[in-house]
Amino acid sequence: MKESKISVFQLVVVVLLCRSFNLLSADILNVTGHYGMEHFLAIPLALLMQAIIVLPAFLLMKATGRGLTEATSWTLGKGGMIFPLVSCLYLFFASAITIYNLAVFLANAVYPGSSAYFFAITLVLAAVYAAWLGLEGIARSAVILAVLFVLSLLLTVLGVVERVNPVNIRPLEDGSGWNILKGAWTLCARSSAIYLYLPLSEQLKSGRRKGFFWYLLCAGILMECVVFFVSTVLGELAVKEAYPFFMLTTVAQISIFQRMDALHVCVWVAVCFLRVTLFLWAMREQFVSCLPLHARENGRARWVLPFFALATLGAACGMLLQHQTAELMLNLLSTGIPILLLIVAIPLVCLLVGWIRGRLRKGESA
Amino acid sequence: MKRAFSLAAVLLLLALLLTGCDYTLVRMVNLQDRAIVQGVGVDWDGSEFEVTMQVFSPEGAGGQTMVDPSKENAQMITCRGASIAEAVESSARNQGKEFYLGHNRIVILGWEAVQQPLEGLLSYFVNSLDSRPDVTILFTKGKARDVLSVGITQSILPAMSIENTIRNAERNGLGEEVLLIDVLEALAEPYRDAVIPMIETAGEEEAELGAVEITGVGIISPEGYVGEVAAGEMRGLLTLRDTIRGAVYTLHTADCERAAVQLYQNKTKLSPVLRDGQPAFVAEIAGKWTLVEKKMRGDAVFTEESLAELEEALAEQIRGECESAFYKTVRDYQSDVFLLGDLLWQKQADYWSLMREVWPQGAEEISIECEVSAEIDRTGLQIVKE
Repeated sequence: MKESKISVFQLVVVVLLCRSFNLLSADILNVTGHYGMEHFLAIPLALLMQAIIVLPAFLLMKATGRGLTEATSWTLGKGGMIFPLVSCLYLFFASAITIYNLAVFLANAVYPGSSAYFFAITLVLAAVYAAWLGLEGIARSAVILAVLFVLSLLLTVLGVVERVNPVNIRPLEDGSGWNILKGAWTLCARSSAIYLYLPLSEQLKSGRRKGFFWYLLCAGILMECVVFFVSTVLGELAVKEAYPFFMLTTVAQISIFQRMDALHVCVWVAVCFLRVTLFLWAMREQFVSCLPLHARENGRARWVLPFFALATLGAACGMLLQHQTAELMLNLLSTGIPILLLIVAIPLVCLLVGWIRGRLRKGESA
Repeated sequence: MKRAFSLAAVLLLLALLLTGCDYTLVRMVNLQDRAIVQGVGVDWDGSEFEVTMQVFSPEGAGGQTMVDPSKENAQMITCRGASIAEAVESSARNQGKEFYLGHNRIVILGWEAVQQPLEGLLSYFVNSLDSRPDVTILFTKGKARDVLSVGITQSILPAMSIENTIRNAERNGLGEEVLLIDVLEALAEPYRDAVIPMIETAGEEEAELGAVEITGVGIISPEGYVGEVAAGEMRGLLTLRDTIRGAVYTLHTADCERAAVQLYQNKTKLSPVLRDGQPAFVAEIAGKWTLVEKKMRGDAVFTEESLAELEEALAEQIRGECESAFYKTVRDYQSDVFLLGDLLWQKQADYWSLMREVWPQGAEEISIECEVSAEIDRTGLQIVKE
């Protein structure tokens, strides 16, 4: 039996930090159109959806006794390569959008007049180096980053607690039910972290389901907390702001600590770095699993990481040149089709084919 | 592989080193090239903005960075342009430093500027990390430039003196410190209105000090200035907005020729009710007070009954002031600075769905009922007889 490379706790922390990137950026917008009760209710529903759509993948892993990537190959044979390839493509676009988002934020809000490409290049250089060092190092640094993240969040929350006005929370209206459902699906579809959890959980010896439950719980609390403070402090102004949580940090003050925004920017950049690093690492792992054994052994696999880094950087720079491309990609990811394909459709097909071929463990098939 | 990563490491190092010297990659401005703005005045003359910047300029004798508290330590720079950004940029014609608004304390709007829709006017001040949304905002009935140029030497910086004045007024129930973010938050909803404190240069007797005074608050709708609530009605307005921090009332009763009480704690809760199809609001006002001064009539002795009389008189006075402020803002100005619309939305959703588009103009018959509990539970060191 293989040794666990990372613990369940580290896995939850890593995935949670990746998820928090969206919370702190503009992606929180356009989920329900407004902040308030609709948004509050959309979050638990989104978590429930995530728990449901991840079931086929968990069933497949249990039924084959293997990690998701290995399970697809085990059940589909050579056709199983489709999973890591689609997975690479998904991670590729998700990381390019992440780099694009950070570069746009820094060039717009923090260093106006600076080159956005500069931020993209430096981020990818740092991330590719970190990904090269391996998952253990990433997970260890993520725990340290998580402490800073919680501290900055806590300071921000304490700094704005006096400005909380519950009257700013928009009540439910006619048609709210549909908005909640739509918002929950958008949240679910944009949550690349739930997909990321699956390949990362292959590194665990046990506790995958427990870890996923803890991830959902912590992500739910975090999202509700951020949405509560953004809603109650900024009200409708939050909808007009490109970075509502960042706006919140600019008004947070505790005693002599008056520049929470600077702290937030530091933590947010670090979270972004972690996210891109993980995406690159996962991309490499997925792609290498498709390579024949001799190609892995003769050292050709070493070029996979730099190749993906360059490709991702190219895509991010392309998005910076043509902002509509980023919008298009984000819209595509927001449909939920990629995530449904990866963690619902392919695992279900695998379960079916595995059952027909008799490759599932007895008593544990679908 | 090793070679490739060595190359990557060198590139990364180069990239980090370049941050300090390449202006095109990361825009850097050295501190000595910065003009640190402490206060901004915005005037509108009908065709262009006149922006006045109060810039930190130490005037101590001991060196360039020494601050002399007896002097203003500030320079005034005025610039003009079709937009605020253009006005600020145009200042580059006659001075060699770049403005830095990260330490800005106040934004004062002139009379013509405050008539404009403020959301667009103020967007310059919240659009970059260099500026901050938590600056104090004020307006004046004259020119913002004149208020900002008043030579105040009460603090080491004139802008700091103005900021301290509004904070002091807030502590004493004579004003409310309103931040830029508060105004933007209020104006983000079309049915809400904002308040902005009104500041003027002080009268002749205080002119030598170069002081300013808070003379009331202005009611601002998304379209611009609506009207003002003068200093005399301020306490009622602040009480209903639940932003009153302190206040002193002078009372007259059968026993007391004169008694002064000071607020130390207050909580106001507004609740909407519908009466005959019209909205009414119930304000539950619970305040705790300290008796700070009294003069009894003739041989009268200060007893528990005298205290109860004072509490009754106080409650009556608060009720009157609150109702006056409420009717002035809601009926006269048809504005909503008390979040009444939001309360209706939460508690009377059906009524709100009918009134939302026209609020607050559509509710002329709106009324208020104040339930005041004024408890004077601190009487200082003097005896109260039973």
